[in-house]
Amino acid sequence: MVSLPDSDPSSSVPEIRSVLVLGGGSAGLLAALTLKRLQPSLAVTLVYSSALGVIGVGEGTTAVFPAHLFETLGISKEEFYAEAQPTWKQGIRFLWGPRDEFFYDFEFQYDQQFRGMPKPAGYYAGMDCSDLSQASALMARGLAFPTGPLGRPVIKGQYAFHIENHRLVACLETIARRNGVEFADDTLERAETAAGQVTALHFKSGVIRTADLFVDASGFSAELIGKALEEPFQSFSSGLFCDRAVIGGWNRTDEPIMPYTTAETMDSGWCWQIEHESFINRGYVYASAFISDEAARAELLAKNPQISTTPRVVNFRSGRYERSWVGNVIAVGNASGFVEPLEATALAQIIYESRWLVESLRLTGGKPDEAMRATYNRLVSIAWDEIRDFLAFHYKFNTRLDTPFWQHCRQNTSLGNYEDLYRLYREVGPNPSMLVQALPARPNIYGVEGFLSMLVGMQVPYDRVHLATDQELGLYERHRAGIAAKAKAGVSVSGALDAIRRPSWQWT
Amino acid sequence: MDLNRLPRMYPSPIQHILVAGSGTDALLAAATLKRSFPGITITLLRDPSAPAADPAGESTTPAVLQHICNGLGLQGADIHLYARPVWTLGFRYLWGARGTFYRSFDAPYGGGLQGFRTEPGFLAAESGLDNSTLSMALMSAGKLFPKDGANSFKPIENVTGLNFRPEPLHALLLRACTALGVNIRDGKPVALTRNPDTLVLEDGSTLAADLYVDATGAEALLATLAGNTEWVSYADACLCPRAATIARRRGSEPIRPFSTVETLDSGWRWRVEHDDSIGLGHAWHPDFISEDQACAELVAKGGDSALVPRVHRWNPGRRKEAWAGSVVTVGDASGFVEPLSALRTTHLVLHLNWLVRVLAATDGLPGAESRRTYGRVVAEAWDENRDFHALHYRFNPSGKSPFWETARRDAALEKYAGLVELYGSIGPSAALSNCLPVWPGFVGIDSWISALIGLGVPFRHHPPIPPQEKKAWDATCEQRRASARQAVPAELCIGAARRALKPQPRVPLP
Repeated sequence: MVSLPDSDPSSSVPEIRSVLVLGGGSAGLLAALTLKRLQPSLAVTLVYSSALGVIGVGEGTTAVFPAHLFETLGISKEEFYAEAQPTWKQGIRFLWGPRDEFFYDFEFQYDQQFRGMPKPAGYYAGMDCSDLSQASALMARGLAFPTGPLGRPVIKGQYAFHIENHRLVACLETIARRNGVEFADDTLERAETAAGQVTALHFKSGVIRTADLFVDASGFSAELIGKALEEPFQSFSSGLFCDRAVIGGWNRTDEPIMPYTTAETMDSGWCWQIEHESFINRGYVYASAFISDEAARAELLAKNPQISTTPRVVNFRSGRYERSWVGNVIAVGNASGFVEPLEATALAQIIYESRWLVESLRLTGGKPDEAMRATYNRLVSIAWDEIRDFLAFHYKFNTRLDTPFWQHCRQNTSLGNYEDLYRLYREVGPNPSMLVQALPARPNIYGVEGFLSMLVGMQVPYDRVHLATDQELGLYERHRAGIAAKAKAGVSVSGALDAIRRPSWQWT
Repeated sequence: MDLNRLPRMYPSPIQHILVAGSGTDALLAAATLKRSFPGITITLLRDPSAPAADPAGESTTPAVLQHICNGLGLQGADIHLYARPVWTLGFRYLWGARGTFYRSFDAPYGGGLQGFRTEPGFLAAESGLDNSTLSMALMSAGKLFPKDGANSFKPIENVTGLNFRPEPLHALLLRACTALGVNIRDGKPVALTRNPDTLVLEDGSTLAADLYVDATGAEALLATLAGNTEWVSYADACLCPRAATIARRRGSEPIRPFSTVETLDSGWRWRVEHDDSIGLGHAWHPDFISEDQACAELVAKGGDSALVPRVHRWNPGRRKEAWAGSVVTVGDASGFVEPLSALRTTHLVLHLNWLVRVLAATDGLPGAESRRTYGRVVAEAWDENRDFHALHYRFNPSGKSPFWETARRDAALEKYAGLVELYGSIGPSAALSNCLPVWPGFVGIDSWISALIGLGVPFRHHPPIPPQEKKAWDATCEQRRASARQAVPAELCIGAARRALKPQPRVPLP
């Protein structure tokens, strides 16, 4: 072997053996569980505060979530379905833009070219954009999964979940304890810092805790990254104008459980509908500059008279910390950054951060240095900024309502790093192989597919309209009819729930 | 008011493309465009007074062979009959902390290795590169292709480049242009008049087309006539702005299955293998050696005092805008880096593929944003190769001369600095691909990691390699080494390929 000069011997970087996770919400639990499952030799302690409680509501995930849980972490499906009681979603139904509705899914609708056709699918979707993927065809029919042998649902592919937060937290906590994560119930009093690092955490109980690495999962309060280390916060307010949500819901009666999250345009923002098995959760995300809390609550109640809980208002600020990993502190989840749940990105972002944390430790043999931290911070900030810009596309091009809020959005939303992608789209149209070149940075989460789903879904015009021949249109219809035919025989969410609860059901 | 002088309000699709240039760039461009768009008129405008191409020739990568086959539709038989290339498996570098290393086109470092927990880069860095892949073992053994049965060989052409001498290559491409129906005419453009854009030739005649492809090489005649001259310099990455080349007779020397790249006190030297000749080049920095001395050294190396070196003045960099208005630059007209990575023709192929893609995607109506996209693709590739050169200048600790001291200090990586820094931390892991600013990139993650390992760039974290994996890897390497020794030398492979063609090429060209 060649002996190589080593300018910075590994001995100068301390090895990380112990990790303290501050915060017992979904971010802290997912980070702790991911660390412990993938690096079992790490001593992981999670400190949560029963005094603070959990503010989480029901939430949707993306397809990243089940893949991470079941494939990466190897968590048992039996246990997760029994404890967390999720329902399934295949994507998002948008009541948005000029169409009555359109679907965003985790498959490929527009980054594809049907066999025998000269142009990619998006060029033909000007009029009718339904049934371009199995997931969107299922959603359009209120169905969750295709039917397999013996009439059973085929629960595979790019599906995601709706989960009630308290169930998710309880389930993750049980699994984390069993996997050797130490838990302590305590409330942070103050963090001791020196030379840009956290040296110890003082808790209300009088206990002082220390660790080689601190994971800040303390949510919006960002106790370590924000308060203790004073990392600058970058606001996303140039692209995202909403800063509050009013949340309510009702017990499900005879409404079918829909296989999607609904995102509906409202006068001064938008409203989610999340489908739990026995509860329907709605939240109106709005901009306080355009509507008062009172008026927002009134609009939510007027449009959803079934709401039986007392609507509560949540304030938030969209943005991210410049760096999420500073010295020996790494922030995950809301402590690292926040955007409204329009694309259900919160859990996916926690998973992305946790995975890269584990990967950073693995790649450096537990001794992450400045180059590794810089790479981590670059990857995580690219991901945050992509989410910001992806949501900006939702606001910039939604022509459904002409209220002052939406006029403001259409005029003032900045598309950030994805301005070039839009400009090329405006000229050439939904051509994935051209547009991929205008993606600003890698890694890229949504890809051309994500952006095209919104652009074509909202019928955003482009110059080079393709005048399809009758023959092409016939082919297009035939391809869609084929997808629709398979979807028609699918299983609904409640049908699939019944199926997995039968004693004969086996996860494979 | 002359209505003809107004810009057209409603554009119509491109019907006539003029390709200007007299070298490989223009011939390949014209043939590619005509093959991709048979319905479009393609005119190739050649300047009969252009200097003859450099007989030293050049080395290419597998992408070029693939383009000639898939993009032009030429068969292997035609290529060997007319262009008479020799295959190359990669490079031997006399360079970097290891002293020497090979770099092949079959490096596996962007992925994992079946049956191994350890990534291949770490195994190669630990056990040495010489037998780390099939091509590496073949190069180490001085052989070209593995045996396939007793009297046959297996041409692994998916991982070989071709070395071309310009004259026979041009003969092949010219035949392809003729067969495909490219109009060929002689003329030298002297002006570009506007509204509509029209070329004025030296003899006073004019030529109008809907799109002008500037494939005139470094001169970039059309872009210059059109006023598109803004240049992004790579002087701080490509540190040798002067070069000289010769082509010497091969004699009885065996054909090496690789190109050779070697550091010299005031620059570096390269050697490209041809069937009956050898191309030699010397690149230098004029502050550290005089032109006379550099040429004298090169001629001495060539071993024939009658050889007259051809001197090149390089201006490494790229045109800021590859496509402005009706003039699109391809190949050397769009940019230039030293031939250290032998990617010149690969750049050209990228340009042509994207030009075709843009024209197809826009139905022959490329607008400003499409042209900008082409420009971005072209620029990103040049910038990546620029940094790849900077890497080689930056990490050559064995060079003790004043030139190399300056080079190590001054060579600056730009967009790929983060990749190299992370390498210094985590070593040759596939995770580095997350640091590529552009995916999958032009040089590509495999070549980056190959060069980083080969140059012996130090890294901090050496993951422990389980003894049984080390043993299994070493056994595999030994196997490769043993079978490479039995493999077939280049002369036999080339001879066999050409003999097979002698009676009758399968698809004869006119």
